[in-house]
Amino acid sequence: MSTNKASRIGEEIWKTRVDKVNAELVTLTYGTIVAQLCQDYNSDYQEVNKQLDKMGYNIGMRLIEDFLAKSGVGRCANFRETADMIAKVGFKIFLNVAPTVTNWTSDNNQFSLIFDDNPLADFVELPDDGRAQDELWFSNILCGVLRGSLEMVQVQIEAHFVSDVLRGDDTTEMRVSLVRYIEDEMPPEEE
Amino acid sequence: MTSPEDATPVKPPPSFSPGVARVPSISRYPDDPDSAHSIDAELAEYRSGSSPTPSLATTTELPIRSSSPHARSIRSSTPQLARSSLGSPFEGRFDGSEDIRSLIIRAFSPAVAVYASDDTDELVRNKGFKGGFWELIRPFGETVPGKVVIRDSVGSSRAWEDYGVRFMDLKGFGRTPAGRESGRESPLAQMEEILEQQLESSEGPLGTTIPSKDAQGLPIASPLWKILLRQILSTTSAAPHETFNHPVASVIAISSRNGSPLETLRQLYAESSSGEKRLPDWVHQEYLRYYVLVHDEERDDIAESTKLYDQMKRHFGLHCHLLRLRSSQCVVTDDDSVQVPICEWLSPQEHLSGVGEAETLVDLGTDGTPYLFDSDATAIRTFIRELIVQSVIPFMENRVAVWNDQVASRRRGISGRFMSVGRRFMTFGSGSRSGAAGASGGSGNYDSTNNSYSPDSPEAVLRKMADFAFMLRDWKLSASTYEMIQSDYKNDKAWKYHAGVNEMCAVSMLLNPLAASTKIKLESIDQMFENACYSYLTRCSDGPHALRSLTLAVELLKSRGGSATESAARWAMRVMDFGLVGPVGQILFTERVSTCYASKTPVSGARWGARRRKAGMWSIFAADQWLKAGKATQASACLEEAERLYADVLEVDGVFPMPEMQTFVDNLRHAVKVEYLGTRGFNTQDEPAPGELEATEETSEQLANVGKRAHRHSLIGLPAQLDAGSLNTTSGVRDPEDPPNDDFERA
Amino acid sequence: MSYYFTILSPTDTPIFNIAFGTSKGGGDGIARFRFPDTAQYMNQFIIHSSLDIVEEAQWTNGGMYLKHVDTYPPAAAYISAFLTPSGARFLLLHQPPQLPNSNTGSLGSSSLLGPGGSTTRASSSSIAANPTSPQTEEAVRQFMNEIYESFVKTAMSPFYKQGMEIRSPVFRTKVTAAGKKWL
Repeated sequence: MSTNKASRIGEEIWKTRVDKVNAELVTLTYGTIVAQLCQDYNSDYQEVNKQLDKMGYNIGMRLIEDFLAKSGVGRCANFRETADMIAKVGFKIFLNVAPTVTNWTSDNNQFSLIFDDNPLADFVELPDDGRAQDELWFSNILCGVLRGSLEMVQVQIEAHFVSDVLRGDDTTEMRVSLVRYIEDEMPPEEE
Repeated sequence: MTSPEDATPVKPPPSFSPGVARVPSISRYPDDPDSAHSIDAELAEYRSGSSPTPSLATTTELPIRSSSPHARSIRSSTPQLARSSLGSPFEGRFDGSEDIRSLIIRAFSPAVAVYASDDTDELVRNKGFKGGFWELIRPFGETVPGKVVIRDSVGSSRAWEDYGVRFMDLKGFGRTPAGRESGRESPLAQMEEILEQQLESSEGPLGTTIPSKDAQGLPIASPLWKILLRQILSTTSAAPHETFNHPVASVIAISSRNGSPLETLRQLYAESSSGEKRLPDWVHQEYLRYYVLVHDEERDDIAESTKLYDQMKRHFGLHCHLLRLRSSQCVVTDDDSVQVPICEWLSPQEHLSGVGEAETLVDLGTDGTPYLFDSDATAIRTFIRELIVQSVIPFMENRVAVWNDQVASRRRGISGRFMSVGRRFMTFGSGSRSGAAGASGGSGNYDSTNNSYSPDSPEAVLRKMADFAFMLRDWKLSASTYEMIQSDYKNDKAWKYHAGVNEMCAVSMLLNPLAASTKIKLESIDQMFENACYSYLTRCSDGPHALRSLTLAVELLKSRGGSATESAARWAMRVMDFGLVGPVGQILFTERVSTCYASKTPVSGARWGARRRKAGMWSIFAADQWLKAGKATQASACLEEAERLYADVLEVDGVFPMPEMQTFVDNLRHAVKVEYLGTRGFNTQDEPAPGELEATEETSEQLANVGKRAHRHSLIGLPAQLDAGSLNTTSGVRDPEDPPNDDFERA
Repeated sequence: MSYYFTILSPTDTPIFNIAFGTSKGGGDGIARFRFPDTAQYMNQFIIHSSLDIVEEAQWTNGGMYLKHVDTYPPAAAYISAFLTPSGARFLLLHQPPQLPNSNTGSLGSSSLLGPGGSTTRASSSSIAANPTSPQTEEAVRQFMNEIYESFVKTAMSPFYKQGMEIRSPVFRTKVTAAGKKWL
């Protein structure tokens, strides 16, 4: 499946099958969660990142069903196709953004998602305590979501942010690495 | 008017016959308990008891001279009720503004010239009054005992408690215009000097001038401000463009010592109307002459004097008085001595030269205040009351009526309307003096070389009429008359006249208690003051008059209340902006701005509408300036005042939301405290006087309080907090809440 | 023209301050207040005192942009105000440059005769010279609206607490830019 086709599918589903919700509501809700976590963990941002990832993982495991039901897409032929499916269909129908897939490693096992636009981070300015800028990945929940949902389709990945405009970087980039395909295993227990 | 040659008395028209209201007013003489019961009663007693005075009670053909208090009270009882129902329209004003209004009204009292024969002055000088007859009666003229009833142009009467006249020395009158040009700025400098003197004299260790508060805790005008205000209002001397200091009447006095009394009177009259004592050309020469015979009770025979007095009446008509005085000097130890009241209205110059302090008496070991025998004081008061109530006021009422009829109504009528539209193109003769149709755009009556109108030109007469109405407190008439002639002066480019009528028109409108204070009115009043100030200052470089009109604007707008107070504050700032007052004056005006803002009250039931922050700010500035001037006491009073003003608008007492403001105020508090204690410590080093200790304690307590506040904000040593605009966040916002037991992640 | 812009929280706490100069007509964008020594606290005093008027205008004027609400004549300081519905106040103090020929006309000037000072409020329709002209009102309105937009976004940041100081450099940059653009 080509990138273009994936984009078309994404557009189509976004237009016809997705119930829309006010973006600010989502943004504020998410922002509040992050802010609350920062407070709860006394600005231990490593821990906040971890918690966000965990939350995302739990979301992803549930979200995948909805994704498959809505999109009706079949199995991906390879990891590149998976990447396109994530970027152009997944992000499109859930966040109405389509990050660019780029920076493939030669073995086609690692790629980057470049977010031109990140609805979760609208209005957000990181706390200016001198550490958040270096330690907090505000949108880290997304990594967890990818990990959780792909795991449900027997793809084990690792995802993390490498840059974020909120920290003053030029781009917001998430690095996604294929760990392995899970064959005939029982689904792991929830973390 | 009533010259010896022309003895026909000026008979007031029937409608103007004085309905004399004599309500014995005890409270008017708090300093004079001996005369506490009715003047009238005492007077009658005095007259009937001491000697037969047939001329007074029995001259039935002179009804207005009837001195029977009984008859009078009957005659005036009914109208009296009606009058008193008019009441005081200013009742219930806050902030001592009534006081200030009265002061302003009294500043524009009619002037009465005094011209006494040498023998009279001699007699009075023996009594210890160096300045002669004028000096003797001057302080008494400033308050006429009892109520004075004045009829306005529409015939309704009103009784005034605080009426007075200004006696002026006719001999000194000629001098003023000459000194006017050269010393134009000096009155302002003199004013500053007086203020400094006052400050110095109050500077003692206990000389705190903490402003007193009225019942509602609002500060009333500080004493220094009142001094300044009085100075400003009495700075200006007689000038062509206004007639306030032109004599309305002249008292011509001789004494019973005079060998050829009638001859002397005639001579005095001649000198004052055509001789060397003639007033300058720009003064209207038609003023009331009033003849007084001063009888020496100790040396001369009253029978002789009475005979002479009868003779005078035959010659000069009604405007005569027999004043019976003792010729010996009274000292404080005498049984019936009373203190001569202190002159309220002294020009800055007189203040500085110490007039009113009566140095002549210093060698007698008194405290410098002149004393009079009670009988003398009573006689003078009676004389002045008669002069005012029976002669001056009827005369003025009459003149206003005549001019209103002959000059003003013509202008107001149809021809007048034409005149204002097209006066340059049309000619109006009709045998009147209305100067018609100057081709130059003006009436041609304005003499631009002398910058004055001739006193009998309609422009000058109307101004005089308006001034008379003003002095008679008929502000409705005065306002409309000033307004009417305003454009004439403008067309003639008679700028000082123009300034004057704008000033007085606005003042009249503000004084008129019945005029509604709508917004439009307020704007036009502001515009008039603007015109006045511009014409005075920019066109005529007349600082004292500009200062007077701006100060009147400040005070009268302030007393109006509501949004006018903001105008008042703005005018006070203009005074400072123009630099019309010296350093101390600047500070007093700064304080005044604060008071103006402080007198604006919130909209009822709402928290907004007041100007507390502004008032507080200006009070802080005043404190700062006092401190810079080295007056820690005043600075501390202003700081306290600021604190009080800010109390309503600050969340926490003494804590400002803005960091630099806080720093400034705290530093100021600290500096004032240091300065204050410094002065004090120095003064009280040796042995604190009793009572001073208490004061010190109180003060240090107050200062400790200040210190506490400062501490609360970690201020005294605060440089760390000050640097670089670090903002002051509300502490508490960041207080960590209890970490919630959140097991969201286990979902 | 020199500007001092403050945002006050509903409890009068300043949550943002910036001073800048005009960039119009060749201005270099640097604030030059008439009394540089005292400008720091004076600007705050003036702004604080204008709250008396703002509070009143708040109830009598329905709009968010209140235009020019107050003047402090001794320093020729003009205050324009903008209210957000949540109760934050944007206050802009603008001070026209001092004309070289006029005297200071300030507190403490004590020349005994000085008909000057007021000439600084000369008539001119350019923004730089006349703080109450319609052009200025319009420019300030644009400025305020632009800042309001940024302010809303800043206030939406999950890490910003209502009533707290705005320390966001992004916001500061935006204010500076808006100042450059409109004032």
